[in-house]
Amino acid sequence: MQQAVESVLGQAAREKSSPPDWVYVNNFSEPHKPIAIKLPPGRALEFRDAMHELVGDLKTALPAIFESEDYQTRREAIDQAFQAKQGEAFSALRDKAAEKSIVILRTPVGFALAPARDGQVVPPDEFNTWPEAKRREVQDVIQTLETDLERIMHQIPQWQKAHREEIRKLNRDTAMFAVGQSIDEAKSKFTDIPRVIEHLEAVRGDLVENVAMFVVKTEGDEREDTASRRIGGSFDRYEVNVLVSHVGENKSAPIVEELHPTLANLIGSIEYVSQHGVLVTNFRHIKPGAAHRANGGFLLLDVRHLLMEPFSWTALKRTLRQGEIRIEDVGRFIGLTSTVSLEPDPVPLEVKVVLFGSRLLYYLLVAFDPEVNEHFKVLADFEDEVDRSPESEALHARMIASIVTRDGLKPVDRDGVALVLEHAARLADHAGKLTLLIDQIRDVLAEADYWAADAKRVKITCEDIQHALDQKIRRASRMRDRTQEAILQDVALIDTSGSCVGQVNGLSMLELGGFRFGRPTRITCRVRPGSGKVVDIEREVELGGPIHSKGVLILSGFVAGRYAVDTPMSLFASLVFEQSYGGVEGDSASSAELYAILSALCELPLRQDLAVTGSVNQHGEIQAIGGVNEKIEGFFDICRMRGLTSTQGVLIPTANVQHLMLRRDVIDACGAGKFGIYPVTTIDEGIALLTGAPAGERGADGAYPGCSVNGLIEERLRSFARIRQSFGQRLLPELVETRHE
Amino acid sequence: MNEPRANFKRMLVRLPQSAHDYASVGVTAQLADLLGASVVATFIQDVELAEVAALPCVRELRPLGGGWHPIEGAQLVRQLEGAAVAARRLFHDAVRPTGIETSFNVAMGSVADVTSSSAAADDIIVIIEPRNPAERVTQQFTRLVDAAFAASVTVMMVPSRIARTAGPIAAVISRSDDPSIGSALAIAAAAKERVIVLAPQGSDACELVVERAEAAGVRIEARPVIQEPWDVSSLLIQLAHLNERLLVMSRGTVPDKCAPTIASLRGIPILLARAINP
Repeated sequence: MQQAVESVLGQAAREKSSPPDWVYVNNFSEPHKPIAIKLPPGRALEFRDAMHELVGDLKTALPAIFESEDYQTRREAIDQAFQAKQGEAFSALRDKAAEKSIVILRTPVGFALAPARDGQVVPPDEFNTWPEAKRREVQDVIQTLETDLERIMHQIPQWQKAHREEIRKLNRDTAMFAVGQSIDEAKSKFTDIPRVIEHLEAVRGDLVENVAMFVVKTEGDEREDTASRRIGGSFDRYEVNVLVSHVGENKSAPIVEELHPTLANLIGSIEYVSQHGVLVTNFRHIKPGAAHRANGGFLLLDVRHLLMEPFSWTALKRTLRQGEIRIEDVGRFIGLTSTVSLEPDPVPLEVKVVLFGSRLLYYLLVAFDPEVNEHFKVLADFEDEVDRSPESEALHARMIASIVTRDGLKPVDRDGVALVLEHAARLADHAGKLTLLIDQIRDVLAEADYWAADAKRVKITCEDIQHALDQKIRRASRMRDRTQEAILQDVALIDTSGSCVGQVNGLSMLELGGFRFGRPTRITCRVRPGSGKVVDIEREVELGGPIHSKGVLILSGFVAGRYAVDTPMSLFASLVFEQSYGGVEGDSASSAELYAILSALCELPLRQDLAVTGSVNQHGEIQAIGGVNEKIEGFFDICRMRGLTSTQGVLIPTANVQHLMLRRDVIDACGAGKFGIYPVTTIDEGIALLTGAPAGERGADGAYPGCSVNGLIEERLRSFARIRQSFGQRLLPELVETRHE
Repeated sequence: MNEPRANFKRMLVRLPQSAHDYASVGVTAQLADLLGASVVATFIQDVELAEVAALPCVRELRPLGGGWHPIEGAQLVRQLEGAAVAARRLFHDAVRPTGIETSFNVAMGSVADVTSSSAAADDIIVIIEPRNPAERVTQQFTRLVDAAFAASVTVMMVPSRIARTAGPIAAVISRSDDPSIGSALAIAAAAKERVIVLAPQGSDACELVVERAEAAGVRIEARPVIQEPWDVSSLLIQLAHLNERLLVMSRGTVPDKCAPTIASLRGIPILLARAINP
């Protein structure tokens, strides 16, 4: 199905042109809102490379220009002017102090002025011996110098500020000169994309302001490498995050299948990196989703997988409704993260979404989600089968050839293809149809290819196909084999010869792990006079499913309607699936149950070499059931293992004849007269076959012939009625007496 | 090929007071690494400061604390101890990237005595120019410079602002056996840089130095110059556009007092090799 859709979409995609590329770049004014830029197909990588090259060039050019003699000269001039201004002020102070025999000292936390002699600080003892006048004079001098020192110190911040401004201006001018050429060069490649030009201008402005990050950090310099504090590398801010690029692809729309449609995989995500124990992110950590990759083309999703992922279904609908992809952080949805995140520009969306899924899911979605029809307007309901005809067989053969070619398998010979077609019909459960479930055909071909190689054959033959099918069954048949073993060892009681009253071989089908097999089940019935009730023991013990119970209730209707026309229904019948310890569901055994009731009533034995399948309605018509092939084969296997007697066989609904796709050995046994398949249309046909007595039809007198099955049943029911009547007359006086008392 | 060796064992660094100046300690350590020398750092607890505290007329201006405060002896001792602890930490932070052999000690005494006392012939005394101009005019820095140049050792002046940490090694020589040649070649070989030699025109110094460099596998460019003796301006003219990372010359090539100016103007360290009498 999916391949067929992809094939159709492939054609449509080729008729469309490649969608645009999308990139995210830094938003220099609002870094938490990265900017999405649309570029012509294939240009995103060119843009990314151009920016990378620009940054690379600047990494070399800017340090070089900032270490150049020209820059250094200008810088030195500014520094010297600043140093000179400070130096002159302090030197003047030092000289002035020296004239007065005062020195400037550095203390651990500041500066001090002290009296000196011959360059040495005057010891306190000596100072204290000085006359008072001299000490006062020194003190006055120091106070004056302190004022000067304080004045100079207060001026330093202003000088430093002026110095920084001059340096900043020099850096800006230098950077502008160095950056300008590189930016212009980059712009020349994208003159046709105004958004890129706009971004490059923003980059120019930012580069000039943040040139320090490009210049190797020089020791003791105020140009700090602030870039090193930014996440993901210093120059991330100028890089380009290519979200989607269609370079090198065919000039067609993309077809994207997302096998794991989590919210992040579907609409993209914002990833985080841990820095010093804190989660941080930037525009380079925006990851595209399938919606981004499929934008302008087709997005294929498995609806079951989509529904199983939290938030994905609603996010998809929201995205389709808004017509743009907004990347949302799932962690913030559920309050797991509260870190500062990004709000990237939404990307306009133009995509066809194809959902694949089972019919049930579709019907459920339509029933419970009113938005489904709003967004998904075209339903493509694929048939599982195709009518079998020479044309469809030829198409199937071509399909086999294409599978073989695509998967690199050996070619399949003519007989092999024929067997695969038979298998396709078997998978369809219909002789006149072929399955369209290609995966199962592919599995068989792949295994047959292995067996062909094992046998050193260059082609896959009929034997290889059969071997593959047999091996597939062998691997899955453990339960079937154990069931058959139990029957053959009389653990599970199933007769395949003789006859017995009120006992019939029903047929049931089990499906375990994709393997279906049939097995016979003994169904028995006991009858006695009663109030017209057929008791299904399976139902009473809650082992019978509703459909099975329905089938049993139909039997009551049939018996009452046919035989209790002029007398009260005075039957109590109990039905049971012998040695059945699990649940029973379905009505395919209802005809077998009816045969058991009828046999019990007429007391004619039923053949045990026959097994029965088919449901029955209230008019006694036998209706089609499922799994007819497996059921027949299940009984055949038991008979074959015990030895075929030529009398054994299976009664099936006539309507199921068209579904017969039996194994070769069953067909061969039937052809040789060793096994029989008996299509029956009515209960009367079946009971006649099972008892060997005619069913009988009502005569002109309205009664069944006395020796017929129906006649015997009618008479038995009348006898039950009489018993009940006589029992009631005996009991009545006693009841009256009791009441009087 | 003979690997050139500078034969320096230690760089003696008088640790600065200000944390801002420790970046220059890192540059010093890099050069020590290139020279194969260890770094011996000394934090000087100036004894003269203790005397200052006892002077009644002296108080200190605290730029960060604001205003003038009296100097208390006990507090000064605590501050000096705290400064020593901070100096140790800053020093180790600065030299750690180089991984070279280092030692740190605290010396109590006068700046002049401590600076020259332990210096041997194969040591380099490193003078780190303070960034703060006020510190440059303090008595301690003046004494440090004077003491370093008074000693008969190799001295390295490190400016407060480093313009380049990569580039050729410039060497100014006056004769073919100039002691600075060995250091220049050793650093150039270790740093895989070339040497630009400014040698007097007409002498055989250029040729001999080139031969020596080639023998050592060091790329060299010799530039004959006629200017001698050197002064600040003539030397700056010759150094223009060399983009050197280090200037090496012998003591006495220029007056000692000019070295800080040249280092500051070029933004590079200057290694003044100990003069050896011919």
